[in-house]
Amino acid sequence: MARTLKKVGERGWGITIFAFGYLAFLYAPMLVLPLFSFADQTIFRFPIEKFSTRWYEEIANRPEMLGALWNSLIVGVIASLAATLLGLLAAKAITRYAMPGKNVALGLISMPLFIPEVLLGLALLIILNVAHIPLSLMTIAAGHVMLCTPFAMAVLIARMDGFDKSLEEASLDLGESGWMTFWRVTFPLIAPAVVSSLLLTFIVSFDEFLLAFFLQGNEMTLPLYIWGQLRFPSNFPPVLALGTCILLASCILVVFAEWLRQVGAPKDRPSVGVGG
Amino acid sequence: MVAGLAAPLAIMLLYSFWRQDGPNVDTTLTTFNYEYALTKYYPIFLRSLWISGLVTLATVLLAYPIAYYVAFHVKSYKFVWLILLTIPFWTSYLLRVFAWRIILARDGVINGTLQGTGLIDEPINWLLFSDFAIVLTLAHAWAAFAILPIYVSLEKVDRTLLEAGADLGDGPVRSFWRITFPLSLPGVISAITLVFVPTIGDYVTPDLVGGPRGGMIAKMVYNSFKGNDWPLAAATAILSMIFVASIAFLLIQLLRKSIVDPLGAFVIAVAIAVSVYFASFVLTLVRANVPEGTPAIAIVLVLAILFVVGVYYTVIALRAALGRS
Repeated sequence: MARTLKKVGERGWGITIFAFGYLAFLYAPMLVLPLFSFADQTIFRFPIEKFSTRWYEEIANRPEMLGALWNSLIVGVIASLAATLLGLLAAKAITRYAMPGKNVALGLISMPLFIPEVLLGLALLIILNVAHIPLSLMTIAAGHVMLCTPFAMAVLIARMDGFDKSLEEASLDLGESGWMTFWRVTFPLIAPAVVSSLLLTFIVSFDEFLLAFFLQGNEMTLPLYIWGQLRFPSNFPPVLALGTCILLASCILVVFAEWLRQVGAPKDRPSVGVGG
Repeated sequence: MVAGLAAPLAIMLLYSFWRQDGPNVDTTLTTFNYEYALTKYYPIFLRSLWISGLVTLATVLLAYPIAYYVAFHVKSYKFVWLILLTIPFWTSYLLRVFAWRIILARDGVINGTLQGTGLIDEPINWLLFSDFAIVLTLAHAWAAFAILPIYVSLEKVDRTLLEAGADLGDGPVRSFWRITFPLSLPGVISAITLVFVPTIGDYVTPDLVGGPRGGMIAKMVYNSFKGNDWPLAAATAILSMIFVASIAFLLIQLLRKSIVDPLGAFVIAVAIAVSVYFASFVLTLVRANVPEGTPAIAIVLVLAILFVVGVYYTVIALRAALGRS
């Protein structure tokens, strides 16, 4: 073991340089956004000549943008709560009960991860139209629930598989009912995963564009507003300023969510983020 | 939940066999939409396949070394590295695409820097509004989907196997190709699927950084939908789903085979590429000479047969050339 690792270690310079180069590639766009949000110019020209914070002051003068931000927050909260609840039920069914067609159900629930979003958007739009349901923020939220549930389920299943089932069995043996066992034993054990699922699904919904594009009514979410403003570059700097604030907030949320997910996570199945 | 997902897809399937007639939808069943989409949109299908293929290749090739680095070289801060690699994925997609626009533009960051340092006199034009921009932006956007599955499969590789390989005299390069790489193929397969499927259906990136003809499948679906022809949009969407699913299936089968028989898998891959080219060439010839009113399904059947025959004979020819019966 030591010998192999040492050999690999000796040849590790190239790959280390590559790794840091790759990080630079990943973070380049995320550095450009804050940089240009401080640029005192309406044309995105580099090098930047003058810096100012005026676009941040301008945020308050864009009621439409703040309205879109508010709508996105509402949709995100609804979608993350509903998706986490559904994900919790699905995770419990899959990890705790012998159920016929388990793999089929698992596959179908995970399907939104594997079908192009444009297809999902169109399919949902058609069924809403057939059912004569008017488009609104709630239809966007419904679409997001569908998209977010697989994420929530993946996070929660990993956690429910991870802890010792005999704890639940002990509680049931000692006379607690199924519900009380869930509340007093299972829920406290999976609480970090629940919080992490809420945060991750919120972020997915908050950032989602294409489904919202299909399912939008009169009210816009933030990504829809940003999309609309992309055609008018001179209007865009305040969007960058707001985007920078959101960037910072979502970085903090992600780190927190990931940290929660890692705390006490079973060591033999390293799974981070999606697709892992 | 299951019904909630199946019902929209079922209704969309039904819709795709109807036909838009002015403001109304004619509910007589017809394959018109499929024929129209197939004959009119096939170049865009092929283009999407090409771009998505490049994106998948670039993403996985870039992601593998980084996953390898974190799995084998990082000792104490793995967790920090993994979070660092996932954070960009969770930030606003639209803003990231816009950031690439700022970086790649004619008077953007790259051109500005290169001109400022005097390395070039004229700005490089192909950076933005090109296929290059689409591939770069998507490879950036879907990086996490490639890194994580590869990392998970590399992390699972039994380190004692590497030790055994070293004891038996394999150098690091040989033990990588003979032990680590084959064992990590499941991760590579899921990475390919997870990157290929969403990128072929992506709408935002081709529209924002691709050239005027940068549109891919999602753009066609959206255009038919905007043109108020929902049945055509549904048919295009379903065709693209079948298209994506069959290619993903093919890729996975090919990679599974490559674990046991790399050369055989390579032969089949070449045969498929040759046959796709051959079939699309025949299609351009045929389209000019087909009498009006020939059902598109007949053309599709002929093409399918040509494709299968093409694959079969190319495989035989290649095997003979490589000296394998």
